[in-house]
Amino acid sequence: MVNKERVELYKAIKITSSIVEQEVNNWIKDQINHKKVVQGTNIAGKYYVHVMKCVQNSMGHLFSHLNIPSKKEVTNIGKMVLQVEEKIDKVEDQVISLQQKVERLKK
Amino acid sequence: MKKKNDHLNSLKSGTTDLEIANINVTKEYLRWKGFFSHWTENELMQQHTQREAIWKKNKATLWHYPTSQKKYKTPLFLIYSLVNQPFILDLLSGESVIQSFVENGFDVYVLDFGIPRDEDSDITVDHYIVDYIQRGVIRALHHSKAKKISIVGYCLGGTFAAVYTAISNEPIENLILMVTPIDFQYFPSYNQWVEALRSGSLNVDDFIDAYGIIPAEFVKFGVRLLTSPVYVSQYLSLLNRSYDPNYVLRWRLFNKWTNEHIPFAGGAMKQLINDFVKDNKLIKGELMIRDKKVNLRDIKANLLVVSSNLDYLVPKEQSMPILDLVSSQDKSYKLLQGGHTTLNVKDNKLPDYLEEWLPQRADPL
Repeated sequence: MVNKERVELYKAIKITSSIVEQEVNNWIKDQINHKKVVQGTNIAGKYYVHVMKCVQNSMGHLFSHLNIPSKKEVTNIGKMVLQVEEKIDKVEDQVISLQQKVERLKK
Repeated sequence: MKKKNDHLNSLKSGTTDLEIANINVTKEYLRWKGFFSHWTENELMQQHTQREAIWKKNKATLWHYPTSQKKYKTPLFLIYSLVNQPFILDLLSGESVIQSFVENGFDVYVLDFGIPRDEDSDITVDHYIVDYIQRGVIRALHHSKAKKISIVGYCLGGTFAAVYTAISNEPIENLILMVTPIDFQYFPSYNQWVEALRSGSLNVDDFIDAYGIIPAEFVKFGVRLLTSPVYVSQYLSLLNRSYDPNYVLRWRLFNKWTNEHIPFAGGAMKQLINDFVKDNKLIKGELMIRDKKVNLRDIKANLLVVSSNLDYLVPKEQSMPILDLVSSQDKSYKLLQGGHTTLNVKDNKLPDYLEEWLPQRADPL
């Protein structure tokens, strides 16, 4: 009897917590879903972006003085590698297309 | 001493039930041991179905899962979302979506977009559709030597699948869209945010540009905000059944997938927010992919749309409108009981809704 009650206790905790969680989540969503919160986030976001760009630029200048490549420079190398890969891929596509044409001609 | 050790071992393995004051001590021991195993045991990573990489591009990989007993000529091409990793499709032996397809005689190809890094910040939806999906489908057709192919898209992968099918030149026989957002007019929550975005008073482009790549933590935060900002009930679900090792294994693997969001390419995020959410161009027929107009009327493939009744991320109202917009003569809709990740695979059998629909449309041998 006690054991059965214990098992049901875990189930009851789970069900109750799900209901409470749902209510808390709805409350949070309601609190966030306000025009003033949207406006405030928009303004704060603009300042945040401005500060972030300043920090990124400053870090770029600092790294150039220290003779260390910045994240932007490393990223640019990555982008160049992708361009090369893209060209190889296009050649491979053409090889496949030619293979298919040859197979069709053989038939 | 030996007897004491034997007793302890049998208690640990759960072969003996020890009851004290009507409390099943063995079960309680296994319950709490299972519960804490999430924090105390090593990380899990399982790969069940045999696969081979047949094409790689940037971070993306096209995986081929060969079937040992091929029963259908038309292979399946699976496209997964961009916010999570596709290992959910092959999570647990016996309950794996990919394994169920393979065991039932389908050749399967899965396009895994991989994890974008800083150099991928300029990747847009156009790139994903043309350079990854279209090329992947061409490779799969060439590899399988099949004349037709079935496309299966999950969540955002389904949106991409629909866009691709509308502009494709490839022979697409079937299109299956699982919990796929198509009509972004309807949003179950945050209507003030969506209105601000549509009126232009909220602009997130600068924020995205500043980051280049949206970090995985932000993606996770965004998904949580849309579904459950506070999320603790899953731990109580675990506690309720943590005496069962199979349940603990499944829970831990699923929890790992749930928490492992991946970064999002900034270019694609901007396009999704502006073209899809803000302007709803896909539904209006105004979406352009590499100078090609995307008209859902151009979809002629057999169509199956699947939604879940408890899906808070992609409610059925976002998926259903595609049924009225395509030219497909053969189109069906299925509403499942469950949430966004309901996959319904048991004992490697195809889920009922696919068992009834897919085999007869996949050109049986």
